[in-house]
Amino acid sequence: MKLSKKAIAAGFLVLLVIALVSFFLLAGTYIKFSEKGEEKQKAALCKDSVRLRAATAVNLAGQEIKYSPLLCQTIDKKVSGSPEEVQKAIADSMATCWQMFGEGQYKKNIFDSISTFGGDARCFLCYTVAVDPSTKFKVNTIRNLDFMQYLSTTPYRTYGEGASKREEKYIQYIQSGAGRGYFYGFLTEEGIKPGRAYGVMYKAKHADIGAGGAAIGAVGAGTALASFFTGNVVGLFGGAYLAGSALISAVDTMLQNPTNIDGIFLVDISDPDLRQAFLGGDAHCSYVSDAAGG
Amino acid sequence: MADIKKVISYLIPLIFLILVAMWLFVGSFPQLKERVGDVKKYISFGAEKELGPQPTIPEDHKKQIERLLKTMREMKESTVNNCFANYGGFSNLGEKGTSLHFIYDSLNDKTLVTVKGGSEGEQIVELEEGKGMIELPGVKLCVIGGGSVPSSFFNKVLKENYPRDTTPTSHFTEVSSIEVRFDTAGVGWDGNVIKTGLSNVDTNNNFQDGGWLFTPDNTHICFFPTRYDPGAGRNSCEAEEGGLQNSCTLDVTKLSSIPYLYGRGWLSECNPEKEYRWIEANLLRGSPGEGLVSGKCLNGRGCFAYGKSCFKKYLDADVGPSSNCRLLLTLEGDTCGYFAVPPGSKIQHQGERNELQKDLRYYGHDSDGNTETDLSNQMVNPNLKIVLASPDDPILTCGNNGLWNTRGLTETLFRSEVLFSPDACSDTTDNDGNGKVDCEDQSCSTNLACIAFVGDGSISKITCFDSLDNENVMKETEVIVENTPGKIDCLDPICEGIEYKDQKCVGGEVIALMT
Repeated sequence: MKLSKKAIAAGFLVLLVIALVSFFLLAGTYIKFSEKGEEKQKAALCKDSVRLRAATAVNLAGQEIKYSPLLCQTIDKKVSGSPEEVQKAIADSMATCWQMFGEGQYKKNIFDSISTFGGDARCFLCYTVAVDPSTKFKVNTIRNLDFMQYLSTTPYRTYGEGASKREEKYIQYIQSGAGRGYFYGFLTEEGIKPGRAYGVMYKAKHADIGAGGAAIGAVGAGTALASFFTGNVVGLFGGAYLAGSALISAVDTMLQNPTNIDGIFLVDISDPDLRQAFLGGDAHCSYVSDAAGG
Repeated sequence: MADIKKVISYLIPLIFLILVAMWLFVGSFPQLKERVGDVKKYISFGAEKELGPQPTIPEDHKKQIERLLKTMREMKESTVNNCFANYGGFSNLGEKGTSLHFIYDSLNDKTLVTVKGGSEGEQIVELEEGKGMIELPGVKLCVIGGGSVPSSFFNKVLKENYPRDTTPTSHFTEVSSIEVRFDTAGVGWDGNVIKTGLSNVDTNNNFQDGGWLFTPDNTHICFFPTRYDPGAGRNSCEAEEGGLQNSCTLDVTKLSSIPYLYGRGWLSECNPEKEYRWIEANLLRGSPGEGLVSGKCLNGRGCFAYGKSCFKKYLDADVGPSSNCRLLLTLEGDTCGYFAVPPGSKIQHQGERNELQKDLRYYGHDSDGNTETDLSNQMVNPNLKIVLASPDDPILTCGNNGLWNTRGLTETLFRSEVLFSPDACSDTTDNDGNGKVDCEDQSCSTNLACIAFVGDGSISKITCFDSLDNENVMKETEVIVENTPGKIDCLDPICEGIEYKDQKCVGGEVIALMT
């Protein structure tokens, strides 16, 4: 049977429409099915959706309009092994989270559908990493300082060959591996130890929280309070361990502090104060829901 | 179904037509093409991207941090307790600029230092390639702040009048972390801050430390949080709960300030290897006397003359070539001034040759510190005689870099003979005050020292010595001197061992020789 040209064109169009619809339907379905799926698949899907969102953004007179949806889902994982293995697992999660959201390369807040002055404070919980309670460390805990040193001294990836071979540490990767970034650790005196869970978050750059005059006041206070976060090893706020409402307030103010670069946070979510500060209803970093509705 | 097919069959050619029309018109009509081109300027596709440079901080901040870390390491290595060192201080670290984060690692007994800067001041900066954290082994952190600690420190260390407080109360507060950064707190209060976690310490603009650090034990290294001193006009500074008043660290004219006391040599320097451009002596005008090397001023920081009525700051740049060391003299009375001392000059012990008289020029200032006068021609004896008073004192040498090597110097006495007169030779008192000298004889001035032997009421000869200790009799004459006993100038080290009229100087005293 010989098809007419009209019929071929019509068929192509129908296929195209079906493909597009299927993509969105299947993506949702895929995510639901993949809740127990591989970490890499989820990370790859998120990363691709971020790239698609960025690639399809329309820049109209300085305003970026993004319409492609993000297909990211919080990845829950449990880690065990030696302190070295646990540190690597967490550090890799941080690096992957950074990779998922474009490695800080996008000039505008990737979450905002319409960019304004830099967007609101928005965060995404990439990972929850639970350290298996049955894990036994030789020493009781991985201290904040030890983990900070691990990130500073352990290579994440290497470039080149032979004499020109160059190692890029985790911190270097997040800060300047591609775009610009920073890292904060919000850990308690407990450090990293079996039986506790840690959240790895991506925080997008932003100008303010969009509350007009209230935000301006917060910016002033935020500048002062943000400085409490000492050397990226927290729980420690300017030498003192804060807790309760003081801690929550300090975190709130810090999150409001406008930053023009993206960041990665590591948060001890076993600590009720930190959990409340970052994930509670009043958290000032508006959490972007994951694609599974979480 | 037929309807859908129909709609699609219309749609496809319609879209095709639009595309062809756009292609044709845009290609065929320049005006339309131009308009489409204008639209393109405002519309683009794809999110904007930018790459991240390696985080850095301004070069001056980097140098200041390196100086701080070097100073802290030197203090750790020092064997001097309760000593001070100056790292030079920080300039404005800038809003979202540079910050330092110190944290003590008790398990490994070391302090870790992180420097942040780069974008938004949030990025870790590597001062050394691959080192995001710098280690200071064995260093613990402390501050002179919190509770009664500043008062205790003030009374034990800075109190102007003795006796100082010796009660065993702590004069420093150990802390586990310190952060230094710029903070905006409003007009007049913007500035660098030090945050320690101590209540009443972490306030606005509280880090005007003047670059001073203190260590009580070469393990703890203390920073100085400060408070604003409203007491302009007072001649002292005070301690508050949050820290010392800023005039205690900044104001050299406050009698209990660290720069004042340190400059007088009353506070110990941690680094015995420290080299100074200036040393200072206080002398009685018009007569020889003992001077105290009481002031030591660091290279590049100028020096304040010490005198009750002569507060004059001499800046390095204003006082001649930097290749020279400086000897600052303050005279009891109202003048102060300096000598430019060439490299190689030494202030040595008695009996050794000193060479300070070479090319000496003395510039004096009156009490207002403004009027500079070359007073060199008023010196009766242009040969500045200056020797160390104690054999235990270190020899002071002016190095080729124009810096005094004052290794081990804390308080060094030297004996000096510097005479001033409105008219150079009208005052014919000799350099020992024990006779008459012929001031017209200028040949002595080219030698290293000149002494007059006086005996039986007359000067029997004037003797000069050259640098090899060869005696040159310049003049033998009979000058009547009333009521002057014959003696040898045993205060002059070059008289040591010289026999004159059955007398000899031994150990600085005249002894009678058996004949």
